Amino acid sequence: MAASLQERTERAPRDEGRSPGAVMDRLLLQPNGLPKPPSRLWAWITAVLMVASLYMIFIYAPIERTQGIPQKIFYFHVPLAWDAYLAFFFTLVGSIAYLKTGRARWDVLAHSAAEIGVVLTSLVLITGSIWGKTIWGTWWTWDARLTSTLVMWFIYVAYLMLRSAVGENDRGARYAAILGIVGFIDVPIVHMSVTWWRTLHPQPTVLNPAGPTLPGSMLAALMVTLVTMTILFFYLLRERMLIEHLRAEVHALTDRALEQQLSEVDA
Amino acid sequence: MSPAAELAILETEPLAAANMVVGRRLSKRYGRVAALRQVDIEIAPGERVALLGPNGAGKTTLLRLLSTLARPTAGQLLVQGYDARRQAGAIRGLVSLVGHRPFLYDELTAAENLRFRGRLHGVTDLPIRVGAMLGLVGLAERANQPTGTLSRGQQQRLAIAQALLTDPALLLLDEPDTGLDASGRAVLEQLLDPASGRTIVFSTHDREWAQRVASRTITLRDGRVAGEITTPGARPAPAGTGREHLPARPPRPALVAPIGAIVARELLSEYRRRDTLVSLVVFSLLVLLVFDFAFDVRTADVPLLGPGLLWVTFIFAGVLAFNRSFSQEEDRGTLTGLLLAPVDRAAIYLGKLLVSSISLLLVEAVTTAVFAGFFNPRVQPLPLIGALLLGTLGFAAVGTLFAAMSANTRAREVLLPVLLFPVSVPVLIAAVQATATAFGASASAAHPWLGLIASYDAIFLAVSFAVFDFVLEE
Repeated sequence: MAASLQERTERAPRDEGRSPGAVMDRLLLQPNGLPKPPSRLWAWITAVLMVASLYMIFIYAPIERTQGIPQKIFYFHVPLAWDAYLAFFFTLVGSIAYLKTGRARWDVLAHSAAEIGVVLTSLVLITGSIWGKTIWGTWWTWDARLTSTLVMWFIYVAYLMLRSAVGENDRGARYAAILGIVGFIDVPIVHMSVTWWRTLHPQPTVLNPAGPTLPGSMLAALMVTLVTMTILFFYLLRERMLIEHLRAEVHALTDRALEQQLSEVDA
Repeated sequence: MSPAAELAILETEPLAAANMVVGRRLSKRYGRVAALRQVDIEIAPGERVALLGPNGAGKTTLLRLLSTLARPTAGQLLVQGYDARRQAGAIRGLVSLVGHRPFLYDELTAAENLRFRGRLHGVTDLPIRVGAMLGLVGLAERANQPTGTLSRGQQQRLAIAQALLTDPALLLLDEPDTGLDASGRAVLEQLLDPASGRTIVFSTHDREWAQRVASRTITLRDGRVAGEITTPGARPAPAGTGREHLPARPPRPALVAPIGAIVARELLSEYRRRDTLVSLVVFSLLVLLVFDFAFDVRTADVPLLGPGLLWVTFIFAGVLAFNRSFSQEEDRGTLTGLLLAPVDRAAIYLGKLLVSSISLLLVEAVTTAVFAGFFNPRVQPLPLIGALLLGTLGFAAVGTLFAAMSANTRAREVLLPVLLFPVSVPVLIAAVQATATAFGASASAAHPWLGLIASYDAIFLAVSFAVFDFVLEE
């Protein structure tokens, strides 16, 4: 069956060059250009790391003196936020590369990363809310970081809405790329303007100019969860991109089948 | 063969530039629909080529590719030696298209429409040429009549005049015979006369007529060339049209003059229709009224509430104004006319930005004055003016970009604010804060906030300027 499918699509073989796009393709595609199957190895690595993270969070790391158990959500909240920024950075890279080259693979990267980024940002907002309810006594406060994260979430929700409003075509990809660039540039400006306006959120504890203020064991737990979450992010990103490549493959197959039917009707 | 290898072969084989049109393996896909598949086409100077074929065969797509309205998905296309991908601007200066819909502004007169087109193309001796063209198509007496009052056939004649105004080397006509009466057809046939030496490509469903007037007919079917006939009776094209020598470098598309033309056209349209500004002012006053009912605003509250009320009103009015600036052009088909002009795409962006900013500022001036009349706040004028000017510019810079994007999408009325509001949060915060200092609500100075808006303006003008090309491309 696989062979006959292959015969019926005109698929370009995988790009074997050394450009960043070609390297990305090699992670996703087989030599004949078909998407690779999902990776069990990475799924297992992610699963093992998650168990390790749970151990680090709940058993290894000490209980924080003032906040108690609820502080544990910090180990989810912070890595989620970092990876959300990472996702939107990938959207920026994919968007710029797509406008420069017009190659669909960059659009696939931008789109997939944005979708995961929106999920991660939603989780950041939810975990933040839960944490805020227990510590500050309120689900939401219009503090600078919360507000700018919410605005960022809205920007990338708009990105996904724009994609669905224009449709799956070259124009949709181009418009999305523009928003992927404009939105990313906007995020620090939003953050700056909101911070200037009002602030209440705790100061950064790791990337603090005066050195980390977090105790060593908590920092170790945070680092492990950060690595885990980042690996999970890359695993999800790859899977999401594979889906997009498969979808293109299905489109190509249906188009070919339609064309064959057309030519049979002609004959 | 991989696309890269294919491209490499095409690159090493330079296409003959002596022909007016050279297309190799041209393909165009719209999303998943293939409109043209690997079409090879060569057209010599002076040829009159008719495109035949059933609906959906790819005739219009081919004409759109030749006019640079659409870019080929694959393959190479040269028009008079210029590459359609990299030198589209140069091609636009040589080509005219008469499309399915005439891209004319209803509220402008026939002569004004032609003058606008002439200014976009930098046509010299414009008044004389406009008169001559109107005479040619038999509309001399209708020169000062609003285009909207002309009949369908007269509008088609005007569209032909508009196409000829720029003296195109290549004239593209998409079913030009629709809606024309016998005398209109006569005008058209005169146009197709080989003696003019002009290269013409036209599509039609009238095979007989095509064979009579064209020197060659090409039949398309399912996006492929299905047949080609050189008409036996047709007079041959005159040899040598004197257009073979290309300038060494393609001319740079104009930037400043078209901005003036676009702004002047918009202002004239607004003067004729008087619909946008008036409705925006009424709308803004109504928003103020609604706020007053909702919050029961007293003079004492004004320093605290006023800046926010005003800016929320302005961003609502702004969304309507930006939306209108592109959706109207899109709906009337006139955007196509702008895209066909050999102007820098940035000129379209800047022209629209200027018009939107001007109209929004006028609305803001009226609204603020009425607001001051109602509530008697004490206002420092300078921070207020600074906030209005800079805030409006930044808001319009992003709004114009997004309006161009959302204009031809589903649910554009909803999509535009969804795109615009989150991205313009910094402008909104800073503009409200600066306005608050003007109202004496905050002891801080206005200039840090004005500085924030100014840097936002600079960043987003630069970014929009850089990416706007990608919005209008097809």
